[in-house]
Amino acid sequence: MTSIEGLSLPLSFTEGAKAEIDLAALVETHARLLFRVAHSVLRSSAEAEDVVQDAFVRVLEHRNRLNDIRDMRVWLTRIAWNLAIDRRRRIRPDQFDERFADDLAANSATPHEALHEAQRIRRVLREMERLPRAEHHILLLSAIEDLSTAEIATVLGKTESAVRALLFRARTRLRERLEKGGA
Amino acid sequence: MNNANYNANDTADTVDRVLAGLRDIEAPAGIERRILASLQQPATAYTSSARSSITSPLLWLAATAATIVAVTIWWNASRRPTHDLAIHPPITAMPSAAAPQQAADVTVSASRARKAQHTAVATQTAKNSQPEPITRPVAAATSDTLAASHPAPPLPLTEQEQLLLRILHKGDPIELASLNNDFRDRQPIRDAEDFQRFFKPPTAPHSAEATVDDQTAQQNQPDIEAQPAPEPEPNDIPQQ
Repeated sequence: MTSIEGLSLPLSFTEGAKAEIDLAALVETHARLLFRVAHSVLRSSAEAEDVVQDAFVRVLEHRNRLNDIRDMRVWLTRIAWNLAIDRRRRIRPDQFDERFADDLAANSATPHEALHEAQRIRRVLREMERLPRAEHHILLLSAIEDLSTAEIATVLGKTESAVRALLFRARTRLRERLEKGGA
Repeated sequence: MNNANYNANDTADTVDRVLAGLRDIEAPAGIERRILASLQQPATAYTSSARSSITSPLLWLAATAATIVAVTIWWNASRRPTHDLAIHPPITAMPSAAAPQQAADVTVSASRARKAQHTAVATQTAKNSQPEPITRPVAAATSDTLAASHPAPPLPLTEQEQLLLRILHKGDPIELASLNNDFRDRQPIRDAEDFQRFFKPPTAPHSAEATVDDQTAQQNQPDIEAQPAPEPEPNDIPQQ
């Protein structure tokens, strides 16, 4: 376990300064993407920010191996994704969906329409949760347009063709279920 | 039919709206600054409850830390009687005529005074000491910092160091000798000398014999060339 003496990192001065500079650059570059990744799972800004912080704590623990990582962006995304999935298991599935749906529907013309829109959005989120896990995950990650199919495949440990097939299947199944229930 | 189309369009629109909402969510302002600040304070946990209500959890945590330190100090002090007398006000025996309620009140007030004194000491101690770890993973990570002495962990071996260790373990004398700089620098000179020794240029007598042999070979060659051409076979002569 990497230890931290006081408030400084246990590295030599130059290595410590370099590590801190690299960490700050990583946070500046990737924090917002990781936030969107975590939020897609948790639908809560506070929880998502916690996940992002946990992800960078992991980076701090593995800072000696940062040079071995080829694709930092995908590595960080994978960490944030796994942390978000773990955290999702500990909370009620729809704990934060109501507020997310209300925020999304808030731009509707009238309060009546906003109410109906929020109900429809909540139903979509419920049906998304009911999808098979792989399809659900790919649907969430594909919503974040910053990630390419190759990156999604790396994060989820699948091939690109599998990602494309699962995404198509997820959309089709979601639409069928919603139409059957009458959105 | 129209209703079905409307429902299908409505469904697709709602799905797209949800996915767009997930895509377009903006991170809160200052997230990078907060994350970097929290990473620089490893013992500070950053929970969502703390963000929503900052003051009360911090007060609770500070009170918990102060209580723990106070109990520890009280425990240590209670094992040292002379020191105990210096800190705590002496509780004299109550007169037998005093009511039990008064005795209880005095005891309670004395204990409260002790607790207040301990809390004051503990608060001061807590301020001076490192902050208490809050979450279990953070506590585990920072437990080493609270140890008496903490040398930095050794850095992993570089590739050159690993090669050196391999040579040492193998014990090959030639490889070991090659570690010596002087030996290594003189190696090309030794190789050149070996090469010269092996491919030594021929000496003078050897060169004179070689010249004679060459002349002999050259003399033999014209005899061969002077021999008449063999007569053609009778069968080769065309008959008319």
